[in-house]
Amino acid sequence: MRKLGVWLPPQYDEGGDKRRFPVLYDLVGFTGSGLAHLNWKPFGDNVPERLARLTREEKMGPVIAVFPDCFTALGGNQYVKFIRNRKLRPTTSRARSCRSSTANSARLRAGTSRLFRQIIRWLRRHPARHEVRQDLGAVASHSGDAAFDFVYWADWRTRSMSLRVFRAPKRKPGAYDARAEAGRKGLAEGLDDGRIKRFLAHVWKKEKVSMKETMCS
Amino acid sequence: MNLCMAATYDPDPRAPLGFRVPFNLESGEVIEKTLAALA
Repeated sequence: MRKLGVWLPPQYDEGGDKRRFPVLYDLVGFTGSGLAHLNWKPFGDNVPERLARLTREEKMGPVIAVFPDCFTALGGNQYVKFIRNRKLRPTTSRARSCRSSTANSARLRAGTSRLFRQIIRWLRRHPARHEVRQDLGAVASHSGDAAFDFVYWADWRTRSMSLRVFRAPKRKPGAYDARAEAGRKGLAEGLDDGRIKRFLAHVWKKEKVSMKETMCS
Repeated sequence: MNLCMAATYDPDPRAPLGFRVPFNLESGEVIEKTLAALA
C-alpha cells in the first residue's frame, strides 16, 4: 500500500455533494515521487501552493490534484504499465471518495522528464485503446529530454564500462578478443548476461547509492 | 537512469530482467534494432 497525496481546491466544499471537479494527475520524473511535489520549496511555490495561487488568481479552474508514488526499484516510474493497468483511477476514487468528475474529458495528466514522455509516445501509438479513451481527457508533458537516443547515446559506453565490474567471469589480464566477447549469446540483442542483475542486487543492498550508480540504474 | 529508461522504452517479458538495453553490455556498441524503440 502506498501513500497518495491529494490536493482539494478551496471550492471543494462549496456547492454541495453534486459538484464535481476535474482530476489532475501529477506524474514526476526519474528518482521522483508525487509526494516530493508536496515538499517545501525554496524561492517559489511547491505544486499545491502553485495550484492554490493560480486558482485564486483565476488563471485556472479548480481541480482535484493527485500526487501518486509510482517509484520502482530501478529508480524511476513505469507509467505506461501504470496507465495500461488503470491502477490509479479506482484507487483514487475508492480511497478518497473525492467528488471527481466522471467525464473522460475531466481526467488530466501532467508530468515531467523522459519517463513521462513515454506516456505521450504510447498514447499516440494506441489512441483507440479502451483505457486511453476511457481514462484521459488531456495530457501535458514538461519533458526537456525528449530525444533519449540522442541525449544518452554518449552515456551508454560509460555505463557499459561501469557494469563491466559485475561481469562474470571477470576479465583476465592479457589478450582479449573484444569482437568474440561482444558476440556472446544475447548481448547483441541487448539482453542481460547476468551483470545487470548483479549490479542491481549490489545497489539494492546499499544504504546510499552514488551518483554514478544512479545514472546507471 | 539508463536501465530505468530501458525498462520503460523497451520492455520484453521474455528478456532475463523483463527489458532490453540499447547497447551491447560488453562492447558498449549501440544496438540499432533496439534503438528504434527509443526514438
